[in-house]
Amino acid sequence: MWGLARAAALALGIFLSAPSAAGAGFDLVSPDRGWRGPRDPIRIRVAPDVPIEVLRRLALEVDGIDVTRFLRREGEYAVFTPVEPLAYGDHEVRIVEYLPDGSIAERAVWRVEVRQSRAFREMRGSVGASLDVTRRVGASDDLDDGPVMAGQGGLNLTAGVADGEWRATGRLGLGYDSSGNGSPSGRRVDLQSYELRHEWRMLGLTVGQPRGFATSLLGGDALNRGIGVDIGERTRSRVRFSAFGARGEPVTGFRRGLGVSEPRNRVSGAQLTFFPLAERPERLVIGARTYAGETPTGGEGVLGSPDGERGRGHAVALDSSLRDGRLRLHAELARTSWDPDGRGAALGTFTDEAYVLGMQWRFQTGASGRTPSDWALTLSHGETGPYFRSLLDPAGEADQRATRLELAMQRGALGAALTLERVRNNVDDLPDLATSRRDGAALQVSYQFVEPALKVLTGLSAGAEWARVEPLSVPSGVDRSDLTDDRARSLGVRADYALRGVTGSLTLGVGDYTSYNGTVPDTRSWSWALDAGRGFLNDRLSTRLQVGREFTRERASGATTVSDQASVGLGLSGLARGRLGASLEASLNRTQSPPDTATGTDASDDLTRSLSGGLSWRLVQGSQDSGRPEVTVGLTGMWQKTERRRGGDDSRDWYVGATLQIGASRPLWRRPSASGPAEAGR
Amino acid sequence: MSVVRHAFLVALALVCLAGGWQAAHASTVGRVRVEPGDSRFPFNRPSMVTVRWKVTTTLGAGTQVFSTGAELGAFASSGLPLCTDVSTLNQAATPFSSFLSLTSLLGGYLSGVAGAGGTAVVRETIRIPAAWLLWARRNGYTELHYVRYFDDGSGNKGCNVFRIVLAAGGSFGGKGFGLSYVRMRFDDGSVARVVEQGAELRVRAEVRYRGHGLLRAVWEVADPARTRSGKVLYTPIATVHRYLTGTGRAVLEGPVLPTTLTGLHLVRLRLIEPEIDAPKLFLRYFVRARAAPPRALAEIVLQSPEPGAALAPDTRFAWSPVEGAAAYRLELYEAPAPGFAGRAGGAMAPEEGARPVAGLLLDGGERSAPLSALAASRLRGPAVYLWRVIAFGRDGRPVAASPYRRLVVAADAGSRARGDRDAGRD
Repeated sequence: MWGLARAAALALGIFLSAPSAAGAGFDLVSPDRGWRGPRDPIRIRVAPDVPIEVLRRLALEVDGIDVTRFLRREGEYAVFTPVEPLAYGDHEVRIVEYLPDGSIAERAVWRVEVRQSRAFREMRGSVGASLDVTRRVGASDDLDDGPVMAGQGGLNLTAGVADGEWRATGRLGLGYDSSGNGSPSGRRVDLQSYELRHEWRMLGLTVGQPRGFATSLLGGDALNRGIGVDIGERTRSRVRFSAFGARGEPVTGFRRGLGVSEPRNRVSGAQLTFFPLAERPERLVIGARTYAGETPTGGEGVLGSPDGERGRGHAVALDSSLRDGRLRLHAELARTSWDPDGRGAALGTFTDEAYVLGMQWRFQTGASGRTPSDWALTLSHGETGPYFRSLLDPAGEADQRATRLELAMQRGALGAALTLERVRNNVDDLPDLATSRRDGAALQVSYQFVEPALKVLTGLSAGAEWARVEPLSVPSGVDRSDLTDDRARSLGVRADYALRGVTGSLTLGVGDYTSYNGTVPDTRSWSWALDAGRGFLNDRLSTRLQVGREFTRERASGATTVSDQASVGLGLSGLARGRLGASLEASLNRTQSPPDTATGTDASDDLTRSLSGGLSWRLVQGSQDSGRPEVTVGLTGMWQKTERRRGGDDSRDWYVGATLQIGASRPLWRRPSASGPAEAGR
Repeated sequence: MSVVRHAFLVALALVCLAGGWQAAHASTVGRVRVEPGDSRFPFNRPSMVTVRWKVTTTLGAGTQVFSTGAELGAFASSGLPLCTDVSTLNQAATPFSSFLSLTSLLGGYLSGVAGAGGTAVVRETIRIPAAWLLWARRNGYTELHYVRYFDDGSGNKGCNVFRIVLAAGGSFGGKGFGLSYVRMRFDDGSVARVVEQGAELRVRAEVRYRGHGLLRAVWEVADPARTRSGKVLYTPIATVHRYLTGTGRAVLEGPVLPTTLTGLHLVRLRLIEPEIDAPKLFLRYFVRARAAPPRALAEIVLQSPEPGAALAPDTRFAWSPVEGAAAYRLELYEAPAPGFAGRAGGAMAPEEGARPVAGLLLDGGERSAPLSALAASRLRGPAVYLWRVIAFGRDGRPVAASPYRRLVVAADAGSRARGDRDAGRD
């Protein structure tokens, strides 16, 4: 009789359990080959003496996902076959029982390791490369100088190997350009970006772009090339440590190898973070950071100074999350020593401090209704001394005291945020320098329609800003008209729309600027922009239109500054049994500005029109699975004309080339798909 | 120190005497003007400014005028050099400390060709290290003087002075508008990329400015058709008109960059106003061909609950069906907490790399489901979660996904939902 009941229960997909002790009555069965693959079923042997009423109250969870509905019976086993292959690494399998009082009791939990092979838990990689060879068919005089044949290409390589308590990963991007334009040092093949990382237990080592500081008065959240070491970051331990040695300026390409070993223009730092309340719902983070080094503020992609500065900085920070995460308190104190000429002999070192205090309170109203409101009130106050300067934050502010209040609200699809701030400079009240104050306010509102409003609108957003800057004190000898005394206001609206297959947005903006000491012309500005796109023929033909104007008018003189930008794009792919592709892009840009007597700038009116296009015919269909390269031949060309209507040299350039393109990409080792937020739908 | 000082004074006196002698005998450089004549700079930061030297020569149009370099001085207000004409610089400059390297000329060689009326316009971007300003501040000066002499080949010189006025350290006190620092980055923070054809790539620029004014700039791209030849040719793709006033730093979000053509692309931010020469202000990216187009992930349309709704015991999650779906996975993520600067409340995607805190695996034939008690037990209110649905095909690959929606969980909502549903089970 009992055996019959048990069989019936199992037939209904319910399995038996001994709930008296965690794990008792349940055995996780290892796969026959001794290691678990991504698609291997999870088999649990169920003891035969579990009451049937308990069986009905059991559920299975894998990595926090309730998979009970996919359990099936195979004799004395309860079996779950993953729908999506499990990612390599550790996973948690948990059996729970719903108790009659409504609580949930854990009956068994396992940590299972999914491996790629017996040798490695994980071994993945991919390579993608392409090479274009172009023969110039014709070109205008200016573009007819270089070699007739030109080549360009790119390569991405990623790899990762892991087993036991270690993991090694790497990625590399190389670029090829036969003209040398692709490299700051003129190399034809040069390194664009890379990162190598090795982890062993709690220890991690990074070569490439090391981990910097978290949000800090010292900056340093995005470091340049360098080497980093971290302890406990990945394992989320109670004490974490990281250190780095990075380049002071951004660099690309090979620089004495990977560009991390040059002795000059380096900055080194470390941070220690302590989480004393790891076992409690409250959160407290105490961090200490320090760095020292020498950096220029110049570099690639930077408008700054090539002169080196030396300095060091230290900071201590405290961050807490209390009352179920609703209250957050934050404080940081930082001190920098700065040698602005990098040599330390003439000017010496300037030392100063900065601090910030912050409080955030999150609460809900109307939570019992269907659409509650979620609020966040944030208040912060901080001050940076006149000589405070962190080498890790070249754009950082100094000599100002700021207080900010922000109130943000989200109710259903409606979001709004109001920000108020007051900032003043000359925090030490130096008597020979003027003191100014800025008051600012900003309001942003957005709404996303679940169903299009007026059958067209899918979203609306608007923002308004107001700012007033005025002198607070003007010492003798300083002309008040040399100081900012102005007001700026702006209002912007954006509407997203979808109409008969066309999607896009319309943006409108209006701004107003008033100078109260008459030193800068009062102006009013308008702008609008429209973009629209649509696909045809199952998206094999796509069109895109962007057009916009920005217009600024001086109210007294009527002088106007206008920028017009328009572009039309046409893309065709997959025709002629997938062999034919074409693209065409036309654009127009016109910038008109009046003369500026203050800076001596002459009036200008520049019009640039351009046309780019390509026609391609695929000879060989590529395949990522087999690694077969795709081979394409085609024509590519451009035409561009720039007219300087207020004086200056006009130019007209064109270029036509015949292109052979080879591209291939393939996985080096197969891996299961994993639909984390980064992979699917994000 | 004193040797350098004396050498500087002697050199300055010789230059002045030579200029005065030339002026007395053969006046050809008629006038030198500089626009603007002065600007205010925070004393604690490096800065840069673009000025125009307007040099008038009596030799007429077509004459080349040149300057071999500039000199920097700090003069008492009564001793400011007045070389707006061909007058000599007969005041003695207050000597600098040796770190300013006054024995060599600053700024480098400049030249221009006189146009109609005999006036040549020579543009110069002056980079002002913080060390100059800090030295002046420390030594009690309120301004520095950047002096340039121009010659038209006859040996005669004319000069003028650009005044560098010290202002308080905050960025917003002075009336002049200028940039001191611009850093371009791709959207992942890197300065060089190799991306696959068709990938979405963006660029942004972080700007530090002083004063206030209308920033005008143009984002420009040189695509492979324009980088293959010897001359790189840029095409405008977006314009920037933005009033900057007050805070001293701003982020300019750039346009989506073209990735249709394979090969080398350059992207730059060309500054029109304030006009600054920035030859290194560009980034490179390579676009490589892809061997096969990626499978597009279809979008699942969510039906209920509505965005921002509260979780209740009777809440059912519903979505439109996906053809060929073998299973759906309902996922709930923690919504990112708002930060202390700017990002207020409304983040619509989980943090990068986040995993679901709860979820439910459902059969492909289902269109809606309540949250199971087990899944609800993992939610901790009061909090905001993001939820979505993914559809999987028979091969286990994701075939469709919905966008994220917000779900508000009240203080006891998770346990309340759990309790009510458990009662139903029994």
